Amino acid sequence: MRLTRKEFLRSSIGAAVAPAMAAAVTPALGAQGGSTTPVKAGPKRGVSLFCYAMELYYRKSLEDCLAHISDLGTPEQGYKMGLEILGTAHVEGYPNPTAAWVNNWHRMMETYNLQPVQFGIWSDTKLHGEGPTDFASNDEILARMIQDIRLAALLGFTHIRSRYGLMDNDGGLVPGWQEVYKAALPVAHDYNVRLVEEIHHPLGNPVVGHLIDFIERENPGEWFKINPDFMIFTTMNPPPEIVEAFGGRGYTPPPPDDPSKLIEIMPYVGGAIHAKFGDMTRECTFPDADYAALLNILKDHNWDGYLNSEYQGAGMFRGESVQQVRRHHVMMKRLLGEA
Amino acid sequence: MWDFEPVQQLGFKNIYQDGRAVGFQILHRLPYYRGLWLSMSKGWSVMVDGELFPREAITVTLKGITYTQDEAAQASDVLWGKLDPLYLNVAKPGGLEMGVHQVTVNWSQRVSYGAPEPDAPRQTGPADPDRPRLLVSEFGDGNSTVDLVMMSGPQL
Repeated sequence: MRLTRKEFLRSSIGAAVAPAMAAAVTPALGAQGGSTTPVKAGPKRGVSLFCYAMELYYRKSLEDCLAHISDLGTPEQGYKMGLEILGTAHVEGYPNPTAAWVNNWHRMMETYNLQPVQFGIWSDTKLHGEGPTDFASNDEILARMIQDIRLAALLGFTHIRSRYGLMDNDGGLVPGWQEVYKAALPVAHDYNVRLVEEIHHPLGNPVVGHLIDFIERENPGEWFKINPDFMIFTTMNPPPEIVEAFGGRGYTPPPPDDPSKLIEIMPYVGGAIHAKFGDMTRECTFPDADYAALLNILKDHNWDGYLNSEYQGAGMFRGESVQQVRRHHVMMKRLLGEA
Repeated sequence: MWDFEPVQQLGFKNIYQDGRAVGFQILHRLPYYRGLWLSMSKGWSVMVDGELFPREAITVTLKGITYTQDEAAQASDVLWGKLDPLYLNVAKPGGLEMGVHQVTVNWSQRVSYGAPEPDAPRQTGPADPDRPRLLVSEFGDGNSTVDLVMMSGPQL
C-alpha cells in the first residue's frame, strides 16, 4: 500500500491541499511530512495541546495556546519548541481540513517557531459497539491509520502517537494488531512519519512485552518504536475526572516503576516521549516523579528527541494549566542545563 | 468560543411550523477532550423543567444532517469535532414558553480505552438535574444542567 507523491496528491487530503501547495506556502509538505530539521541533538522540550484541554475553545483559541508554547522557548536554545496535537481534537474539519486551514496551520508553525513533533491518533475499536463481537475490523482501523499518517505528514509532524485497541493490561491487544502495523509501516516510511506506540505502567505488563517482541521480530527500525508515558514512573494519582475519562472506572494505578527500568526499554524508545506530570510546586519541582533520574538516563543513552509535556493535574480544573506547564518547563530547563 | 458548560445558551430556540412551535432545539457541544465519531455516542436524553423527553422524541443534527438516535449510533464515518455544533431537536407540541427554563442534557459515550464492556448499557442514562455531574466539561459523560433563556414563545 505504498503511495507515491503523485498518488498522495490525488488522494482526498492531497486534493484538498493542492491549491495550498501551488501557493508554495507549505514548505513542510515538500518533504512529505516531518523532515527532521538539523537541530541540537539530545532531549528537547515540547508540549502536548492536551495540557490546555480545559482552556482551549472556551478561554483560549488554538493560536493562543500555540503562542503559550512558543513562549516557553528562547531563540538561543538551539531548537524549536516541540508540539503534540490530538488529531480529532485540534484539526478543524478532521480528517479532511480545508486548504485554508492547512495554510493557516503552516503559517502558525512559522510565526511561533514550532516543530510539529507528535500527532496523536486512536484506533477506535469500539466504533460500532461495546462487546467484543462489535469491534471495528482491522481493515477499518488500518484505513483510518493510513488516513492519519497522510494528515500528520501534511501538517509536518515527525511522529504519530498511536494507541492500538488496548483491551486490558493483561496482554489483551486486539487480535491481528500486528498485521495492521505491518501494513501501515511502509506507508509511514513513505510519508516520513514514525509511529510510536504509547505505553503505560507497569513495564512488566504483557502488552509492553508483545510490543517489544514485535519490534524484535519485524525490525522496523525508526518507523515503529515506543513512547513511554512518564506516568509509568510517577506516584501521582490523576484526578478522578481524568481516570474516568480514560475508561478507568474503579481503577487503582499500580505502583510506579523505578526510573532505572527505563534503561531496559531504551533501545525501543522513539523520538517522542510523553513527559507526564501533575501539580508542580511553587519551586518548580515535581515531587511525584524523579525527573532528574529519568532525564539523566535519556542523556546517558544519547537519546535524541522531544519530551512533550502532558499535564494531568487537578490544577487544570482550577484554570492553572498555563501556569503548571510553565513550571514544568522551568524544571526541565534546569535538569537539561538550559539557560 | 463555546460556553464552558456543554449545554449552550446559543441556539436555544423553538422550532416552528406554520408559525406554531412543534418542538425546540438545544445546542450541545462535545464534552470530551477530543473529537469522536458520532457512532461512539450512546445518545442524549433531555429534561426541561422536570419533563423528561424520551430518546424517540429527540433527533440530532450535525453538519447539516439530521439523525434519529438509532441512526446516529450507526454513523461511524461522521466526526463530531470539538468545534462542531450538535443540535438536539426535541419534539414538543407548542414548544416552550419565552423565558427561563432549567435544561438538563445527559450524554455518554463508549471510551476507546480499556477492556470491552459487553454488559454496559447501549444507551445514555436519563437526564436528571438532581444528579450532580460527576465529571467536568472535557472529561466525559453525565448530566449538564443550565438555566437557558428562550427568546420567543409558542407562536410567532
